[in-house]
Amino acid sequence: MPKRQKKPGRTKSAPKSAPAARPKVGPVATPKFGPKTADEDAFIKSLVTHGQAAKALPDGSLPPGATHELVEDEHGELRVIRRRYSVI
Amino acid sequence: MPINFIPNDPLAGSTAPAMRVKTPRPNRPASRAGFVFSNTSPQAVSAPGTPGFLFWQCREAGLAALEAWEVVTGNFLRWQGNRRTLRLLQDAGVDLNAFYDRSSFAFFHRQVGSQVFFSGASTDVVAHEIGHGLLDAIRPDLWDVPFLEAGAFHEAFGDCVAVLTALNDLETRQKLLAATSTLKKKNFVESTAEDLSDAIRRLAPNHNAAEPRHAFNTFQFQLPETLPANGGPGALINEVHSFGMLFSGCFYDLIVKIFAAQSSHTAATLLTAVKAAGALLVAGTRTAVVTPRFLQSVGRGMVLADEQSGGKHRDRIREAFGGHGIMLGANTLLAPTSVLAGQAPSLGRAASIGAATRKDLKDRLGVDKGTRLSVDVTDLSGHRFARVVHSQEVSLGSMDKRLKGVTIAAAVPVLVGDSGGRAAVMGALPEPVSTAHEVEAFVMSLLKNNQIEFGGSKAKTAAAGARKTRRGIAADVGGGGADKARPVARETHRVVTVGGRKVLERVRFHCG
Repeated sequence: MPKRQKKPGRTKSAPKSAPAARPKVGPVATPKFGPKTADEDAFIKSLVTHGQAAKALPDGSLPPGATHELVEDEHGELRVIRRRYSVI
Repeated sequence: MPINFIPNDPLAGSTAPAMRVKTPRPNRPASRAGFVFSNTSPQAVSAPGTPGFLFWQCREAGLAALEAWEVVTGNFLRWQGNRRTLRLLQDAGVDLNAFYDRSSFAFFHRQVGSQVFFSGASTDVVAHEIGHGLLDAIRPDLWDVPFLEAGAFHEAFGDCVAVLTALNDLETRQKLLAATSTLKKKNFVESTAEDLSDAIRRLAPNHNAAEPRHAFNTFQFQLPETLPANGGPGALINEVHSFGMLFSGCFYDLIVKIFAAQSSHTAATLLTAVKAAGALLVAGTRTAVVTPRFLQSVGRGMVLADEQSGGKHRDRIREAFGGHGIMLGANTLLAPTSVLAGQAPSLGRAASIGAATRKDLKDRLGVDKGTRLSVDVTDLSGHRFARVVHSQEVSLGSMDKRLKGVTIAAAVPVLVGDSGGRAAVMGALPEPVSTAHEVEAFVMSLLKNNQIEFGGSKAKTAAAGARKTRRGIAADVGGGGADKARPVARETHRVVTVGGRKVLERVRFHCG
């Protein structure tokens, strides 16, 4: 039997109307990127096409389904920073 | 007090083990990595759809995944970043998804029609997310790799951990063998997240994820960029979760092949096969070199890991990957490595490549616009490719003052073939710096061995010195008198002027 016992007042799951938990991603320092390769470019295109890369929302979270934050590097090129993995 | 537990997925079907009443697993030992639970519920046999069920189901699935991992590869001590615990959030809000973000494993719920779907109620889904966490613990460097195949491998690894978790369960193995004694047909183990896919299907019937992902598949590798961005349910597309099925397919096929080689086919020998395949997966993953072709890189890592243990499964690994078009042996020369602009080359009697391919290739090779590319057909083990050759001039002036202003031309071939109808580089793309280094190393060896004939008296002296040296060697080893009388020229190359330019060219080969 597990050691952790019931804690009063913490037995309910999140209410059904609760928004999805979104990772707080900002403010973060944009990492120094190396030269952008064709493979990286193709990857970013795939992520954007499938809604898996997006700019962070004003509250620093990512939209549902996004796994990567879109950022601009020092040359104004779009790059991605991973924030999480998803099952779908 | 027992709990209710679904060992696979709420929608795994009638051939899968049914929900069972069981004693929950104990908490993880304090010395090993584990979870922090939240919104805990009293231990009880709770009905699916209730908070109590969801908490104990998700907890049990997470612990089962770690148990399966430890059966394969030993005690698991820390998550990425040396964390001992990560939060397991069985219901973090509304979504049809699940996430791992280095601080937690988060699952969600969403009502579709009259039914509420809970991603944390699926052992498949929980094990998949735990798989991300396990892989991140052993290969944290993959987190930021900007290649689709590295992302796809992470997804595949999650699905592989879901398969390992399922097959670590005795009743699951028994039920699976009852459904398919060879494992060679679609089944509830190789299918991932049936329930979540059903929810997506109800909302968006044509979505790619409206069909569960399958590790038992016949997908063939092609460069991800050459695949469509979207496809119908279950199609192979240019997207990380979908593309990951190529690797989970290789892994599942490896289990099948190792199991087939067992002397008997029982639930026990299936576990033996699963442990062997799992250990190879983990070992190969640990050592795989990060490249754009990462699935192949992991496969090679698995072969190398196997060779260290006697090479028992070498052929099975190669066949499993080869069955999905991922080459691991010498035939990697024939595998596409990067997509080029334009359509696949025309390979009739003569080969031709399109203007877009030609331009793209020149850009990648770093050659001038006006550089001539010659194209012909080459046949390698029955596979036809366009062989595109350009001549790279390497300046030799910095190597020796006698080579001031001298260049040498190196023929640089590239194989261009077909990947999904697009032109693609097959094997390695030579890059100019390496070519120059190789040429310089070669010329340096010529200089050291006095094998270059220079014009002018100094050069003649040097060449004569070389003959003398060689003659001396011949005499030392008992060379015949003829050598002493008529010294053999040792120079294989000479500097000549062609069209007003000094170039180094070969004049002969010699042996010895």
